[in-house]
Amino acid sequence: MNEKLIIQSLSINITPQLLVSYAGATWDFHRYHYDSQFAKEKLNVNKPIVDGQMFGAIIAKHLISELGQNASIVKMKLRYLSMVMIDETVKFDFDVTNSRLVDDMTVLNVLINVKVEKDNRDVLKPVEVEIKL
Amino acid sequence: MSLMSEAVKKMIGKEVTYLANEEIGFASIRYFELALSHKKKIDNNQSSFDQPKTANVVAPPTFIFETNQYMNKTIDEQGYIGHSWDIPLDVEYSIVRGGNEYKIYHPLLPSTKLEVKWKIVNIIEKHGKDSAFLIVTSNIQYFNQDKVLLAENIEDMIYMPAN
Repeated sequence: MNEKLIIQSLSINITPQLLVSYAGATWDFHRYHYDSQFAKEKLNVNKPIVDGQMFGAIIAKHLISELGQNASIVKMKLRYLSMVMIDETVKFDFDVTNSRLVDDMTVLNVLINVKVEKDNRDVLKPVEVEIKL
Repeated sequence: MSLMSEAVKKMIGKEVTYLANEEIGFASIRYFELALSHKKKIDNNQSSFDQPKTANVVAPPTFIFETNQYMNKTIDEQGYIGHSWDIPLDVEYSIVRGGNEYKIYHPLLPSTKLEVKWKIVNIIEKHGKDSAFLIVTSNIQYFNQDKVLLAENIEDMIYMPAN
């Protein structure tokens, strides 16, 4: 009997340094990500917000870290449900829902639940990822 | 009040293409990797995207969808350089991200000079608790300098009238 592949959970604190360095690395200098007053005026939130695409990058990095450098992400679906602000901690729980052989390669389907730890708020609908090993 | 005017409907099918000024480069890949390592981890996970600077270096898989390196325009008054559609609404609005659906066909290399095609494939109106809003769906295609399709992204952006 095949044992189910386990991928470790991950928790990340959203620091100002993370937002600013990610914004620079992606050439995204929008004031949403560092200007509290602007974020309040435009979005009625109290602190700068995360660019949701960063969660996809974090998920990809963690999956490759867990599955090895040969893991190749071929699909990812992200549906954003709530904004995340600086100082919040986000938890990622990974569930391998399917594993099959295609052309001598193992293809995995993984669902990832992404929640804010403090209030268990859903950040995204469960993220769907397809990976070739 | 409906936001779905004839002018808005005419935006469906609109296309724009951006051609990067230069190649992606090793430095921008390393910067992206460093940015994602710059965080307080609670679980232990020492491995990263760290890779030696060799011919084998490829960008992390989602980097192609996140970088605005290929933009050949100026930063707007909100500090944004990325693409956004100028949807003809009569009211002031904010834009927030609704969804992304990535498909990756080939890796992004440091030597790649991106050509990125944006196209509006749909606009729908929805009604929230306080007001109507629009969901603008774009198909974004990423090509290299040899016109090879590297990746695609279906992106939903939500256009919300300001409070």
